[in-house]
Amino acid sequence: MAKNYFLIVLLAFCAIAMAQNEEQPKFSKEYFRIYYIFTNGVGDNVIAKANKPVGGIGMGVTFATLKKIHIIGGYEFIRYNISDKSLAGNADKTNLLHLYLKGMYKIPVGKKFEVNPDISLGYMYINQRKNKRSFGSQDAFCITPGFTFDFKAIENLRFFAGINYCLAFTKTDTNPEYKKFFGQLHMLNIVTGVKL
Amino acid sequence: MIRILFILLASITLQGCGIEYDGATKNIFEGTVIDETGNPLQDIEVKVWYSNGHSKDYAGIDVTDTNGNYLIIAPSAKEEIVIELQVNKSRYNDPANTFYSETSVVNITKEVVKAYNYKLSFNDIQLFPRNAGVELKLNFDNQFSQNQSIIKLNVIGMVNESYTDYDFSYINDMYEYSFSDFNFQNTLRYYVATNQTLVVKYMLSDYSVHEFQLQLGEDDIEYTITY
Repeated sequence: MAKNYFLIVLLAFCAIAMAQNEEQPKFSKEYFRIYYIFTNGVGDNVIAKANKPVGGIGMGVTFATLKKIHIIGGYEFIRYNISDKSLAGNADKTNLLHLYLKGMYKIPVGKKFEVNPDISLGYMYINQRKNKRSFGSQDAFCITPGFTFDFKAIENLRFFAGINYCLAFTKTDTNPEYKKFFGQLHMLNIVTGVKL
Repeated sequence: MIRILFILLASITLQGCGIEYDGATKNIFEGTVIDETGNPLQDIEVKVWYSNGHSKDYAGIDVTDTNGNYLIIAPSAKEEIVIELQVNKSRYNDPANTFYSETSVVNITKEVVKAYNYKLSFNDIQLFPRNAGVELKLNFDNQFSQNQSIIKLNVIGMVNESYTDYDFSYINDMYEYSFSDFNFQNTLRYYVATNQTLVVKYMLSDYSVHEFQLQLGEDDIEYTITY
């Protein structure tokens, strides 16, 4: 019996010792990302009610890292086609240009995966166009919380997918009844791409 | 090289020809279209038309719903424009509902829209079948002063191809429906619905506004405005 207890204690000791020797999951820095955006307007606003999503592309560059925090600057171009001209005006498409500064926290999950919650603040330029002509533009301030889930394929190359919720506050002069409809745009975006 | 410069110059010039829109300002136009008996008319196209004197654009379009209602929200413009609400109006190869009459509400500017807090609610607009009308002939007779002329005229009611001011007393420099040549034009003809009361308003060159009513029956009618 004493021999059995000794074996159990020995095995437990070995397991603890090996666990201590095992490497902690490490996060790796990222420097550049490029991605496709599956965009979708949500809620009661002109993007959701009078536009149909086409898609978008984005890219980001890491400016600074502070332990697990990355500071990323980026640019996105998103397009919608106007589906209701009575609400959105007699243009054909709505283009959104988004410049942002993102704070991202890296949480390693095992050796191959990472979860990255983030929040970004940005400037958005909204331009409606028809046959290369502008039907007016709006400026907006954006706040976008979200997260990405990374898969480390090889060293310095990761594939990622994520989701974010973009809330854009536009400067709008209109009747108070429609101020929110044009002044607060909500978008739920799914992003997927690669990080280097 | 000269050709390239010419193309560049032409493209820049053409770019500047269109109306410059103000996307941050949204103008709202709403109302109802009904038929001669007061029932709502569905599927009637209503358009908001902008003109800056050189360029013209349809800024917003809607089609009336089952209740005859329309709602058009269009960006404003950065420059001075005149705005026209066109109901069932056909242009070029743009077909309208040819069974019913067409009409326009005019004399709207950015200032007017802003004064109404960016939302213009129009009175019910009544259309009538084009095949069920009579002719109204208005004659003009200047008897009192040769210096006096009619500068504006509205025939309000069920009138085909009519132009009615949103606010008749409002004067703007870009008014495109000036009747200042009335002194040389003795008669105007209108196609109007039968059995209705029309309101005729006119403004003289001293900006005085005059108004009278015309009762229509089943037959053509002729009336002379003496001023």
